[in-house]
Amino acid sequence: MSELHSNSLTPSDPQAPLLSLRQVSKTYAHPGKDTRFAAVDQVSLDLFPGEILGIIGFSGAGKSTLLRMVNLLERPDQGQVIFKGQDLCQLSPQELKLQRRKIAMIFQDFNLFLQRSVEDNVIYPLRLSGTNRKAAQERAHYLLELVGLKDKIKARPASLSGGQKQRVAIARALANQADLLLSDEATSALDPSSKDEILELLTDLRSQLGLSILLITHQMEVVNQICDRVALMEKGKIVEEGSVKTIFKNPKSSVSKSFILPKGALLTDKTGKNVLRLSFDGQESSLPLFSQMVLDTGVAPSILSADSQVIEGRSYGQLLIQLPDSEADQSRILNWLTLHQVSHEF
Amino acid sequence: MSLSQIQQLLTQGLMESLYMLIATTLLSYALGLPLGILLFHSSPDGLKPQRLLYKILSLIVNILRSVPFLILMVYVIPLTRAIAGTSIGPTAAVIPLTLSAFPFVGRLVESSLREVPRGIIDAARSMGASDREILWDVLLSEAKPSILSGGIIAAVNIISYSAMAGFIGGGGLGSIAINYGYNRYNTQVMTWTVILIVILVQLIEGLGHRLLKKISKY
Repeated sequence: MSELHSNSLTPSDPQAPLLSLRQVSKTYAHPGKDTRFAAVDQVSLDLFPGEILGIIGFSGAGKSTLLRMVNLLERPDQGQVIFKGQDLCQLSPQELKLQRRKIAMIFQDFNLFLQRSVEDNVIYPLRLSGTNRKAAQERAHYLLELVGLKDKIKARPASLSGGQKQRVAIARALANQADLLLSDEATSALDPSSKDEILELLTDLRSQLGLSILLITHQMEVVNQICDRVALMEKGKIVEEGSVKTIFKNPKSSVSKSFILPKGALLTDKTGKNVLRLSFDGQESSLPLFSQMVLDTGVAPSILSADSQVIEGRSYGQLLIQLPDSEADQSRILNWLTLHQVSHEF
Repeated sequence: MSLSQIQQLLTQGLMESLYMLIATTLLSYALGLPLGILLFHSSPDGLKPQRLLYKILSLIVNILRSVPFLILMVYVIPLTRAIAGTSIGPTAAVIPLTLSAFPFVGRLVESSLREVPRGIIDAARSMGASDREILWDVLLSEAKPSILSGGIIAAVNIISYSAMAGFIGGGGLGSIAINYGYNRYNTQVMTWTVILIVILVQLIEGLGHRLLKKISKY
C-alpha cells in the first residue's frame, strides 16, 4: 500500500512537473504519397505547477500537433504524456474522460456552441461531469463573473465580440476546475486590445486559481507578455528552450533569432565607412541612450538601420550607425560608449 | 361541373395531398435521420470512420436516388401492394414517395452534420465528452437549424413528387390535375390545382422559416 501511495503522492511535490511529455512523436502521411513526415519528432517537455510555458514557432512547425497530444486529441505514435504522474496514453476511455476534465483547452476560433446561450455553454461541461442543474448554473455564473461577463449570461455567443467569445471559452474550459490550460493560438484572431485583455485575464487566473498554462503562438508579444519560459519549435523539434529573458538576451537558434530580431539576423551593412554596430542587451529602455550620447558628445552620427524591441522594460536589439570622418569625433563616441557599457563593434 | 362540385373535389384533393405530404415527411425522417447520422458517423471525416459501412450505405443511397421517381413508383408496385394492400390511392403513394425521399433526407442530414465546425467537436472532446455525447448533445444541437432548413427543402420536393404520383392513381391534387385538366381539358380545375399547390409550398416555406428563426440562436 505504501508503495502505491508514495507513487500517487508525487504530483503534490512542488518540484514535480504537472505535465511531462517524454519523447513524443507523431507522423502523418504526405498527402497523395507513400512517405510520412514527422509533425512532432521526439519532443520532451516539462511544465511545472503554476507555470506559463509558451511554445513558439512558424506555422507548420508542429506546435499545434504537440499541444493536441497533451489531451490526446491527437494520439502520439510514440512516447508518453504524463499528467499528474499518470501516462494518459495508458488510460481507458473512461479514465481519459475524467482526466480531460482537468485539462482545459481554448482555441483560436473560440469554438463556442452557437446554439446555446453563454450560460449554457459554461454549464455544458458541468452537466457532462454530472453536476446537477442548479449547482452548475451557480458555478457558471461565478465563472462568467470571474471573466468579466456577468451581464452577458443570457446572451447568444453570436452577439459577442471576439474578446468576449474567448472569455466565454475560458470560463467554459475552466468549469470543471482544471489544473492545466492549453491555449491553441487563443489570441491570434483578436484585435490588439482584446488580445492584451485576454492575456491579462490568463495571468490573473494563474494567480487566482493556481493554474498552469501551456500555450502555443506565433506572436512574440504573447511570449513577452505572459510566459515564464519559452520553447522554440522548428520542424517538429524543440530547438531552444529557456527563460524568456535568457532567450531574448542571447538567441541561439535561427528560429529564436528570427522571432526576436525582427530582421532575423545581425544587421550587416558594412559597405559604408566608419560603420559601427551597437548592441543593446537589456539596458533600461526608458533611458534615451542614443540621444544622450549625441548631447554628451556633441557628435551626431547618422542611423543606418535599427532593429530592436522592448521586453519587460528593457531594450534588446541592435543599431547600425555611421560615424563622422573626424577621428576626434569618433573617439569621443567610442569613449562615451565604453563609459556607458554599450557593446559596440566596427 | 358546378362550382360546389369543383370545391368539393379540390378540398378532397388538398386533404389527400396534405396527408401524403405529412405521412411521407414523417416516414422519410424516421428513416432518413438515422441514416444521415450513420452516414456522417461512419464517413472518413466522421466521429468513427468505418470505410466499408460508409461505402455500402452510400451505394444504397446513390442507387435509390438515381432511379427517376416515375420509374421507381411503377417498379415498386409489388412492394406497395404488399405493404399498403393496394397500389392506388394516397396511402399506396406514400410507399414509393418515402422510398424516394428518405435517401435524399439522409444526405441532407449528413451534410448538415458535416457543416458543424470540427473545432466544436475538439472543444467537446477536450471537455471529456464521449462520441455519443458529442453526437447527441453537440452535433445534433448545433446542426438543428440546418437540419430543419433541409426539412423545408425535402417537404417541397415531396409535394412535387406527390403530384407526380397522381399519374398512376396516387390521389391528391396531382390526380385531379391529370384526370380533369389533362384528360378532360378542364382548364379551370387544372388552374385551381396549380394555385393550391403553389399556396401549399408557400405555406411550408413560410412556416418553416418562421420556425427556423425561432430555434436558431445565430
